[in-house]
Amino acid sequence: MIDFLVTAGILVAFFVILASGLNLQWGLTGLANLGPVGFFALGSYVSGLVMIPPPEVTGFVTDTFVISLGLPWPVGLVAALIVTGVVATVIGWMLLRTDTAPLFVAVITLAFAEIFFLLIITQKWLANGFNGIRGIDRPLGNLVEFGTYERFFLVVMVVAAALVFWFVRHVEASPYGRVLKGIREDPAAVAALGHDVRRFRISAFVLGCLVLALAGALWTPFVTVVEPSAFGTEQTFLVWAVLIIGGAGNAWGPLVGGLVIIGLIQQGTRFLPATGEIAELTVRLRGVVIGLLFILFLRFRPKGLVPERARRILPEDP
Amino acid sequence: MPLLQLRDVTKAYGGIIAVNGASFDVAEGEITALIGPNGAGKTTAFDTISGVVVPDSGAITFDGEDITGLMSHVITKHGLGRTFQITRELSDMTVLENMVVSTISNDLGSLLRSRIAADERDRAMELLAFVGIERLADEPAKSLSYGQRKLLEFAAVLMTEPRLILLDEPAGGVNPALLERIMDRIEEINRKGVSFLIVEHNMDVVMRLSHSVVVMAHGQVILQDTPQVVREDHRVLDAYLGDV
Repeated sequence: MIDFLVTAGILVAFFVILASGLNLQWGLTGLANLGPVGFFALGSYVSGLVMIPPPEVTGFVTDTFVISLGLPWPVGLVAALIVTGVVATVIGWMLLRTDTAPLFVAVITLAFAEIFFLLIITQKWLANGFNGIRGIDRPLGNLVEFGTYERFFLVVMVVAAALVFWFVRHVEASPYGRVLKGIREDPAAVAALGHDVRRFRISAFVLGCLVLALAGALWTPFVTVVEPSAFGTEQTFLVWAVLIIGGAGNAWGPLVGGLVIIGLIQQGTRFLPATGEIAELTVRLRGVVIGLLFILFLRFRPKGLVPERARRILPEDP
Repeated sequence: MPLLQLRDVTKAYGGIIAVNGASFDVAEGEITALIGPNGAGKTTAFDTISGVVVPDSGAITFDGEDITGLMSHVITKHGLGRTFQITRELSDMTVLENMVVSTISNDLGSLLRSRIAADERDRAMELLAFVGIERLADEPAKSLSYGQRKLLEFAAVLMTEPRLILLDEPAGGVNPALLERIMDRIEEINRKGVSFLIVEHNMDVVMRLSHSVVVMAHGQVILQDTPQVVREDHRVLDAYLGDV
């Protein structure tokens, strides 16, 4: 039971971070990133490649990596953020203009995620293709007693999710966030008020991608394996479901969405008494239920469980 | 020298030439009206001045500087503000938020601050009081009536401290009481030295406010003169009756 709660907690925290990253892009700025899984995967792969020791050390001698540095986790994390920052800036710079239609953003980001996925599975020299990166060491794995590592990792994830939550709350309330919301509602009007819409859009896109990559870099040492099958389109769908059902445009939305969709529905249903065929049915029905909820929310409560409110402006303390 | 100068400005959308070699001036300190029948190219002329669209040819100068084809936000920084024909308030944000959006800096420093500076808030409240909607400051902009939105848009433009304000149909769809207030506020701001270029269909408003009137038809400027002269000119009537 405790083990189950720990795993569920880790997954909830993980999706809260992912949905918060998407929230910066879609919720605040109106950028429909349909490839969050691509940036999550990028963060995961970069950190994995930095952390993995050379194949002769791991023992998987047929594995091939473009780099295998065997460096500690913090280095992998920083490298993941830097590389994702550069990639997101290039994509944002090419894609986002003052008048870029939301549909273009959706198509291009979806294409990015697909291209990245195909690149990984077809170019084995990059990151070992289908088999992925295996044999990554868990950070502090020797310090934390075997079996309690999940609990230690839960603490790490919850702290990270709390930091991201705080960050999104800050952005939301900051003057910068106010410009983002303005751009979401009417880019031309905000430009007429003297703002460089393009610059704000690019920076918000990059910030969101960095949060997605952070989730990826946190995920790597926990699972110790980075493989393509973990980065399917269904992950993108789940992140969107968490954000929309929770409520886009405010920091609480992803938190509530994560608890309900991942905690209650995805993980909670494991408690349903089930054996054999019924068990398999439950697994499949989970996706159906989340998909159905997604549709119902879009139709009847598009602002989600925690709707965004117009904010009163508090004066700065003198 | 005039504050704003258009010289042979042309803008075509596909085969339709919306503005065809238009030239006119806006003198410093004056209210200039831009009139003409529907489809004359008034709004397109506005869009070329404010950087929403780039003219195909021609030159636009503001205070002696060439601003042709600059981006919207750069033109605003030059001291040229505009409102839209159909108001473009940020509907899910409060009235006060709409007001202070323009004062936020364009660099990432705005990400580090958590609140709006007290003096900016005070100035916003002052301007909201000036147009008479300060009691609505914490309401979402979408809850405002159409006329109130016009007032909000006007006040929001004033926050950018422009030298020239482009108003696209300030009187359109506004009830008479509110219209009186809008005209009164325009005149008061004008007395402080701010120039205006106003697209308007309501001739009473044009005659009362403007020092100079530009008449457009079929994308061309057919006349620029004082309101008295324009009222007597047969070409203007012809333009409206489609006989040009």
